[in-house]
Amino acid sequence: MKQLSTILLCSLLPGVLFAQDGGKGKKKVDFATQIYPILEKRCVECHATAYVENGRTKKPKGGVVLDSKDGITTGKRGKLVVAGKAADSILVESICLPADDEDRMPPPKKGDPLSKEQIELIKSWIDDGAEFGKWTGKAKDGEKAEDKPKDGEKPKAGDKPKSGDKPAEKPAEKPAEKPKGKGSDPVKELLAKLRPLQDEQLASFAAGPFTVRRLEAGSPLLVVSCAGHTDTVDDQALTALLPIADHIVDLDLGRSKVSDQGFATLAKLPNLLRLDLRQTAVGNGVAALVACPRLESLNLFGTKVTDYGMAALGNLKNLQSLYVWQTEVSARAVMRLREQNDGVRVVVAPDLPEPMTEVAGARRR
Amino acid sequence: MTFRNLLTTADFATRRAFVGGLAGSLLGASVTGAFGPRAIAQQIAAPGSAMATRLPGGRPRAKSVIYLFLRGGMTQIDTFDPKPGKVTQGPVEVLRTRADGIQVGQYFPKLAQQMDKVCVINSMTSRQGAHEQAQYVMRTSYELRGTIQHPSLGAWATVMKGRQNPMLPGHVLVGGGSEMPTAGFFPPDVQALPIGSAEDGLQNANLPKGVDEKRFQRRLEQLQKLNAAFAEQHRTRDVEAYTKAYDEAVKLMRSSDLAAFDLDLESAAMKQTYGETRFGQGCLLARRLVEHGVRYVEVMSDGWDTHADNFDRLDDLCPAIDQGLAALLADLDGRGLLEETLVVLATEFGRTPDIDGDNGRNHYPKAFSSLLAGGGVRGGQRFGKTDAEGREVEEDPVTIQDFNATIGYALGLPLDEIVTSPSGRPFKVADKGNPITSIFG
Repeated sequence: MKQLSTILLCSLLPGVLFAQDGGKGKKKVDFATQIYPILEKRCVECHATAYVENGRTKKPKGGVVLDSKDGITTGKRGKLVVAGKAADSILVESICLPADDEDRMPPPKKGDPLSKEQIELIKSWIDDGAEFGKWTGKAKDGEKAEDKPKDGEKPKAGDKPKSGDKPAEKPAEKPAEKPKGKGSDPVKELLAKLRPLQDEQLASFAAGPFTVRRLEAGSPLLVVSCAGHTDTVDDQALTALLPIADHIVDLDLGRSKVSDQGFATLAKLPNLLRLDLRQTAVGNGVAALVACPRLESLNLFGTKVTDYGMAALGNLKNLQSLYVWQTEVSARAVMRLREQNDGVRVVVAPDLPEPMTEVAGARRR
Repeated sequence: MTFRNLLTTADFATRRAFVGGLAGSLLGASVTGAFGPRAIAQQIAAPGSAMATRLPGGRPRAKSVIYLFLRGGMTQIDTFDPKPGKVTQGPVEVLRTRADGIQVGQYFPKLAQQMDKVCVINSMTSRQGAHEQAQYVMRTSYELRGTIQHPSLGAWATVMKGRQNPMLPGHVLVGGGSEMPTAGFFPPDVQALPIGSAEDGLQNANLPKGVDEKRFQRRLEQLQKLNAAFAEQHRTRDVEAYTKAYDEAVKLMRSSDLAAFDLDLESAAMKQTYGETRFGQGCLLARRLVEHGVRYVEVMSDGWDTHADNFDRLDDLCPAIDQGLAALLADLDGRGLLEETLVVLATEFGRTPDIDGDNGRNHYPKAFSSLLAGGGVRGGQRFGKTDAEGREVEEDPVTIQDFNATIGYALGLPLDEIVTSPSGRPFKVADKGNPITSIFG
């Protein structure tokens, strides 16, 4: 029972006192308005449901949770609250210990004990049957109390661990993931338009630096990659793709030698859905990509693109994902882009975990 | 035993070891596992053979798979299927995560921040509760039999989709597990390349001391001369595979893509971000390999068979997973690779909801959990449900075959395609599994 910690700032709301004194025996004590405010003020600082803050887990002291119904009624080491029997409730026992007892809750170093009135209020709430009324649980700071999780089990948006140290990044989580309602599936459209190329034509690429593959067996749509030949694929090499330009929906040029001059060729691939230019020397030449209106995903991670190049990308109305980590693109440019296309998810920087400092036992595995 | 006998009687793994040893001793080259699946791939994906994969839910998004395997049987209640307030929960606290409605055990504070990218599958179910057999089914979708060795999912992916990067093997196995089947009845050239320790990278990939390029070339020519007559007389696929392994190994030795295996090219800060653990560095290597176009990377973590002192053991086991997986998901996303890489966290079975006298949990295949992220899978969702105490699957059961079919579906593999083994028996990527298509898009 050492740990019901909390605090007493004995400023109990006069109104509450009044209600208690005046209504004793007649009106039941209401948990949400009379009891929880006491717990919230004096207990929940240490006895909230475990949560993550700045990458660190804050566990409730002693496993005692006082911000959820489950927590208050169960408790890890015995019944915190025995409905109808205040005298048997550990909660009551620990707030009633002498002021100088080290097991007293809130603990001596956290302040004075709860006031007599507060203790009486809690006792009578328990003796009355410890009912919670409409109260179902409370988020940590009591923020957004209106849509609180049931029984503290289901978290919700307001419960999100706060990582206050990372602003600016990732704007559009949810809406971006969903395909847009307006256009139909671009793959279906293209399948209706294009005929599959002959195997021989595809086979002719085997000798070159590009791996050319069908999106699926028998499909007219092609996925092209230069992996394995990144050293030799430059702006000039791209022209080899022109004979199959209409069929390319996915092109991976990551880590290759292409630069802004390459956009002259890339702009001739009208049906591109995905273009990967990560870690290449391309920069604001990306503006030429307005000629690829179907583009859904554009990877510019680690390139030289800046705000100037970003400005043109607003015209890519189908763009859903844009990656600009390790570039000079500013948060303002991202905001401006999102004004033009609110469905785009721009990844400016990933929320990498804090480095692992102590390896302790983990190292052994 | 003559060379010929060895080639015809030994199983693939033995031949592989033999070839590897030979290549190592003659050339100082390590034989890099999975090579040249193109021939088979073409044979299988012959034009017009299969559009059958077109299931509702969108087009295939994943180009690569990173398959993280926790060997021994990961406890589900303490990790990704918590039952707060129930007797089966034990002493483990529950954390809220960045995703609505998803909670994780106290061991995963960093992963909690990434759960908006993850789909938790809580309704995995199987009937196989012995380690070896269960691991076999997880990897191959088929029961362990004495008469045949089935290919692993990584081999299916390599054979059916070919390699993205022709210089690198299609399938790499990091941190052990190479005793498990990979190529199965496919030709040995799709065998996974084993990397024992991520930090050591690919061993023996440089010319031995005192051997320059010219001398190396002379040795190779000499070798070819010696082999020529034999290769002429014995035109089997295994001899071809053997020859090819040499060619591929030499190609890789000269390729700049060899850098994919070198963790020394990563900053100290990045290594710490993944955690300087075997598993963490395995994840970092997996990221590098996927960046360079490797199709299928498996990373093993051992020690999950927590029959005794389950909770103390988890204190040791989980931080590496928490750190490594959180870093992997965030880093892949930052690089724009998460949407085309399916990240899987799997295990062979779960552990009992009841905690026994040794504070342990025992084998429990009936209801367990796994994770999928990226590769077109919608993050921040749960699929399937167990009952209040985690004893039975209550909604949407997912068999091992269904789970593997889902991975295959993400990659766009033709799940209905029947492939005949050399012994004339029919097999499919995920046997009779049905993919969970609703979690995509």
